[in-house]
Amino acid sequence: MRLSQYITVLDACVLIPMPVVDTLLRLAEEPSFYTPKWSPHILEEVRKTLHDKFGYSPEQVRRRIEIMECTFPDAIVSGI
Amino acid sequence: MPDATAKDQSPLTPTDMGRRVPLSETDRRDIEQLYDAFRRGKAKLVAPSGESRLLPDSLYSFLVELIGLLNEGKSVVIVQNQAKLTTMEAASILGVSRQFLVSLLEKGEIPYHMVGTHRRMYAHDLFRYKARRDNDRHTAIRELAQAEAAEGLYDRAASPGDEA
Repeated sequence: MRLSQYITVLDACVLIPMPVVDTLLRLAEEPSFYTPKWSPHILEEVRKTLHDKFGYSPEQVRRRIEIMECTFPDAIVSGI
Repeated sequence: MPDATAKDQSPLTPTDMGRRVPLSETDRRDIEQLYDAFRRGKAKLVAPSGESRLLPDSLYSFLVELIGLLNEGKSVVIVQNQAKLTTMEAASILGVSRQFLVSLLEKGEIPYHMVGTHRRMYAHDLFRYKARRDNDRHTAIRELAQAEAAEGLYDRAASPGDEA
């Protein structure tokens, strides 16, 4: 059970390097230190950067985004 | 809530949900000593008159677990398994918005029933869902990290100077 609810928007810059993503998502799982949020726009930027700049294959990009969306289905917010 | 009767009311009010046991440094030491004593053997309750009774096994193991958790600095909330939770209470336990909780109910992820016009769910159903969610989440994050590591991706976007 959470003691408090810190809602935090994770921007693309911290959703690209896997060591940072790994750390942040693990902190958000039980006992969640904070509640992560991201937007379709942020995810699109992650998708594009992983593919264009870091050479992830479309399948590798899809896996990354899909696991993020499935593990935190309540993280997506629209309108930001 | 015109239909609310005493038996329909959730025994778990929002006030109860938020109740915390703040631990002072002295309490912490006491709990540590109590935990050691409890683990050494069966506990007895001693009345002011000196009369003592052994604790039943089930209560004893419950107290060992409770003190153990407090000793680790964890906060403990006791929820009766048959407690009926409101959508607000359930959302707060899961750490999601009420709207998202309602969408889970509508997708059939957590059993619920109606009390008048209000949705209610049993604590044991909610905690079963939560345990599965937490476990799936933990596994998925670990598998993603392992997969990226195995494919040499884990550190690829991590070198200093690289910017998104």
